[in-house]
Amino acid sequence: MDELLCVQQVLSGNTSAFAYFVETYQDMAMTIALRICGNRQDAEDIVQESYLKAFRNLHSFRSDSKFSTWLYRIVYNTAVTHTHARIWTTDYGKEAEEVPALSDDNPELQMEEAEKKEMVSKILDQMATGDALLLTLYYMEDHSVKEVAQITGLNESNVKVKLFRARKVFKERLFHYLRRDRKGCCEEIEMKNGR
Amino acid sequence: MGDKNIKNKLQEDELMRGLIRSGKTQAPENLKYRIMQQIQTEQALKRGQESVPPKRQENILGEFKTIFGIMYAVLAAIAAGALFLKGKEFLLSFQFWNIVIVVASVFSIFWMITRLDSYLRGKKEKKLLPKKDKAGE
Repeated sequence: MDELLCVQQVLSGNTSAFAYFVETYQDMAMTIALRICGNRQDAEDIVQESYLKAFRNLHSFRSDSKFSTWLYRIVYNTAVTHTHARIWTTDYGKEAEEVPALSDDNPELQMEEAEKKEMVSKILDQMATGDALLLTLYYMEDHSVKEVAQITGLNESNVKVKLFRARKVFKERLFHYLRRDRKGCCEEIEMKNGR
Repeated sequence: MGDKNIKNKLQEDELMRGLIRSGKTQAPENLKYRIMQQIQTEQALKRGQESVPPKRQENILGEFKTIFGIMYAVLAAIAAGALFLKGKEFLLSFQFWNIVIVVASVFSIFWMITRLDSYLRGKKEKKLLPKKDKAGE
């Protein structure tokens, strides 16, 4: 569906045409809000408030950027205001040791979808909020560095640097996570053999 | 060597993409309806607020012009009649000015009653408006 046409329809008074934007982008908006505030209930409120803001200010939307980029910028700003969060602090205080191992039901490292999701969520939760948000924005919907910069209000080179660092941290935590999981499995096998 | 590095990097990127996409949060089913309902309610309220006040302002000015326009026309007619029938001296007499005051008072009281009526009607409408919205939901 042509988004510009949809915007025009909403502006001309067809309020129900706005449902298209809600349906299309609500999951990603929810992901962004949740990544910033860390609480599902607050994230829902933030998404609702952001959509209302978007609706009220739809006349100021310029077609030089994607609607999603514009909307995610609103979600980002609303979430930051709502939580009074300082997103871009390099807080790596959460140690990798805190990461819990995967459940021992699956020793062959063939993760089920739910386990994979849980693992990624846990790793992202334990990263600095800004880093986790950048990875989410960059990889989840294939936003370019320019678009990520527009959403977050950072400059492009800053996004690149932070993205590089975030990727590195994510990989380290992922390896750590998998190593712990493998170690847990080996210990279990040894215990079984010992018996 | 360089090609291999690029290939590795691309593969790594693809893996990251796959992993992070698996962590996408699903919005609850009712969120869309909540958002749309709030937008539609707000829009309906906005429409109600926009349509009522300008009409009322127009009415106030319209009423004022009509009532006092007629009053001045009547006064002019009385003055003209008096001038032609009783002469210039009658226009300066107390009798003539008493008539002018009575006519002006009658029209002013009529305008005041009209204003009071619109005010009371507006108050009544304001009380009824929230009930209408609830019924609309």
